[in-house]
Amino acid sequence: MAALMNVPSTITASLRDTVRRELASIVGDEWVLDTPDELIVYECDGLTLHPRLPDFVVFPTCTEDVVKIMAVAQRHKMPFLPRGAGTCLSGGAIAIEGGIILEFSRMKRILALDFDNRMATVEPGVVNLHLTLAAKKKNFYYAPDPSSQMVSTIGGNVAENSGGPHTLKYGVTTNHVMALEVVLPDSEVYELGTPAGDFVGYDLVGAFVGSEGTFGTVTKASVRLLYSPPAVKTMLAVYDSVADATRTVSGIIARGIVPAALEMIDKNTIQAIEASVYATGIPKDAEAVLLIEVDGLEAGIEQQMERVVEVIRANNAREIRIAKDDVERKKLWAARKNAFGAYGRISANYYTMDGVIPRSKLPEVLADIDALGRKYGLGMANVFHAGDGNLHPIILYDASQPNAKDKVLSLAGDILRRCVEVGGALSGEHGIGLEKQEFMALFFSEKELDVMLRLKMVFNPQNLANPSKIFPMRRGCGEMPKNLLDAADQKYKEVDEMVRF
Amino acid sequence: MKWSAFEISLEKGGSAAGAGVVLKGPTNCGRQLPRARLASAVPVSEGGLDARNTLISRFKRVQTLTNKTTSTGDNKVSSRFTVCGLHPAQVVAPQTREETGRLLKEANAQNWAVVPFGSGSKQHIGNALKKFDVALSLEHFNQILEFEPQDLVVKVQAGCPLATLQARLAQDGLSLPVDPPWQDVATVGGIVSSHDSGPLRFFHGTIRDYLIGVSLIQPDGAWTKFGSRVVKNVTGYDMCKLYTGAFGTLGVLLDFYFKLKPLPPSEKTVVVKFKGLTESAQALARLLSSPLLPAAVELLNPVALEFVNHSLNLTEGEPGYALVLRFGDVENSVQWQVEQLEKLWDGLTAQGVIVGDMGEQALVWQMLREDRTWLEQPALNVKLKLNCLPNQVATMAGRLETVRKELNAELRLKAHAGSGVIRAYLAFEESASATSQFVWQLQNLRAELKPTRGTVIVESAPASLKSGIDVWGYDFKDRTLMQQIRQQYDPRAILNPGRFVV
Repeated sequence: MAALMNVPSTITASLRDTVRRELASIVGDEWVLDTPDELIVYECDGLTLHPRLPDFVVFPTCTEDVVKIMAVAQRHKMPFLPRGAGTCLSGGAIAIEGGIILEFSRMKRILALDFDNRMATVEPGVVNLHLTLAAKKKNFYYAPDPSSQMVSTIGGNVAENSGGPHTLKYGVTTNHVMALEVVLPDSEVYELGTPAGDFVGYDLVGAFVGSEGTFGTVTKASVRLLYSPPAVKTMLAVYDSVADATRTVSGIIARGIVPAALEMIDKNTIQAIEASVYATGIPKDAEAVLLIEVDGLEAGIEQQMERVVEVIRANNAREIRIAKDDVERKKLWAARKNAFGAYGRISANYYTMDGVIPRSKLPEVLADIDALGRKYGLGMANVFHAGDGNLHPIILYDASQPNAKDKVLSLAGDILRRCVEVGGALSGEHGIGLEKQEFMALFFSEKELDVMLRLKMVFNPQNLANPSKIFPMRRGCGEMPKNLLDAADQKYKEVDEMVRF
Repeated sequence: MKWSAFEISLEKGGSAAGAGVVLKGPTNCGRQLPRARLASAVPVSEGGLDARNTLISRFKRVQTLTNKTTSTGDNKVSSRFTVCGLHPAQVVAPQTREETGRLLKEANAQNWAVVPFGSGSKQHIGNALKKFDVALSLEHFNQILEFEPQDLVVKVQAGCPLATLQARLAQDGLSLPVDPPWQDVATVGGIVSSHDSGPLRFFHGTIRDYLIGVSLIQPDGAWTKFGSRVVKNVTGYDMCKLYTGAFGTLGVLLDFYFKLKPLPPSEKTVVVKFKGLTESAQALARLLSSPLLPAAVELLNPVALEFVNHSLNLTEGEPGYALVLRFGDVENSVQWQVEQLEKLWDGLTAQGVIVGDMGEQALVWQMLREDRTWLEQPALNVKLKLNCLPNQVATMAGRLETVRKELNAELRLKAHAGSGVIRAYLAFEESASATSQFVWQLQNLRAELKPTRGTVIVESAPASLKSGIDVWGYDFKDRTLMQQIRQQYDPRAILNPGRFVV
């Protein structure tokens, strides 16, 4: 799968002038970008393999602006997509068909903090962490905490159904969104779901969350706030064998404890961290480290922690460190959170994958991934949400080597295939986007893809909202099972032609 | 507040959180319980599955099925599968997914109206069916297919009763932490399809939050599956959500993957009666802005408290509204939380009982949850579900009192107060004026809740009343999207026609 060239704009000069004028009349001239210099920032998101310049970037300030922008897109049959901070790792925020990017940095108001009802209503551009900081004054917080939370937005989190290290206990974004205001491509505004008790009718919020911008644009979100756990204990356990570490993971859960976080760091990652400025003194010959956090009420925290420590000891940990205070806690977390930065110490380039498997398959699949890396002659590292079975294998490579990217993508495909074989899925939290659309036929039958396309057609019948994402396309497809892909591809083409007229 | 002089002794050990525990009697209660009350509160199965199996036609009878058939001629069978007074022309219990697929394909060709059936405990919910040709019983899909305790995941078929599932999970210290009513008979398929819930939803959420994989027969007969046995999954659209609460209008759900939670190591239940609605509302507000982590927060009106709480000695003094809380965590945490309540509710006139004994706790929650006896009265019975914001619960409870007075009715009210869900049971004498008065009051309640996107659903009512109203009363713009979704998948409306999203 070769990287695409940055395709130049395909729209005519007169259309460009018309659309530019129309967009400027909505938001003001300075809030429409359309020169290559300005647009280059928007050529990709966290996935850098498929850059493509949008034709326009426009900055709405309110729902009414979005409605008018949708009308422009509709009038000219121009694709569009909403974009938050652009931290998506699967290409969800890349304008692969050109068109308009709606950038939400001017819609970042927290509209209501309603502590009585334990909820907040926000605009889509609100940064995830900012919501938690705002709620802090009454000891509340917003639970989903993707690693990108310092910059990523609630709108983006809703589109991608973001996870994070604390989802083991608290669930992912979809478990915390109660209602949405959305603008569909036909420029109609809909309120979906409700913060008042149960939804009635179909769960349209549940369908919208995680639809990766292919249904329309979120303009408001009502999300749950939780009371911040008054007590937190963080500990780090060092192991001489990966098997002991994974047994600890199942042991803790079998004891009736759901830790707030349960992260595993493998040997290669330990070495990278210890060679970097984030070194925390983990023995370099350790095979695996578990970072475990329990939270809850002060009264029960010691009891919870004791139970976890018992399990750690019973599984031959060679060392246990328990953070005594917040400073030590932050230091333990720094190792985990900065792992990605530290890979630079051991490799020129790296590719972060996302796959998910049943927890009980961890030892087996970790060994397989290791073997696959050796087969391709590529280094592998792993730092992941062990409690969720959500793997993030890191492929270490040198981009200056010939065919390096092809090799990486081929290895990545083998790893995903293995995840699906053991009952897992293609993505735990990064999404499908452009990155994995060609792999969808591994997981879904032609009929199942058709059922999902039909849902998309209800919200986005003309396929203007974030087109050419999620579903398989006719593009180079590596080692995909040819017949499955062709079938899915054909179906997509038919539907695509049907919806595009 | 002060605790009632009579406190039930706190006992250690065991767990009542096995939401599936069905009490056979006053086990280990340490005290005599009113026998009659207990008998009526303990759910009674209406003729076991085995008895039914022998009566229901096997799939092969579909071959001879025509929608002209008026009745199976077997009253016992057809009465089990009656929906709001309508009898199916045929009852079919397929044994495989292929059979189920062929049935739906045939139904499309012949334009049969098909109603998927679990135990039937939720069939009273919804608008009247337009027609009813086939009752599709899922009784042969009743197995637990995969259970890997260390994955905290179970795969179970739609026709499996929740109680059966919970009993198996409890053997490994796990549970699917949902506790809707009809727990002994309600099937997991019915609970998913109706998105039904119980008191535990305050902390644990609803079945929506636990469904991670589903397989179903599409209305056109094709078998499909979405999600999988992993707890975190963003591969494609989240179709599990779309099928949750869809009342069997988007396909016939066959099996599910659920994620699970460990049973809490220790539990306590607290029942506190407050002076009036105002004080109970204050108590609720204080609780919701505190760090306490109750698993359940229920509000009961005086009549409901009396009904639920016979054994707990809170009947002395003035009648009042009560909060019923359930705490589950490690022992120290549970103990500490219960101790905090006195400080939290300082200054309020309250009388409380702490229930520590596991059997006694299970009984309290069962009496509160199982509402089938709440409606057994010789009068016009209506069951309402109000969806509102948590801080509207007290106001709406007060409003329902005025409705009660207008109708000269009896009102039993319980609310999942922390979640904004009120369940109200009205019993009143049948008359033309009472009916029109009720319809008028229903319109008012709906209008009052509309600005905050609240709703009032008439879950249960006599056919005469139901036929004149829209039981859902869902009057929001996104209804058109729902209709379009239905149209995409079931263009001939063969599944539950007329009942939901029309």
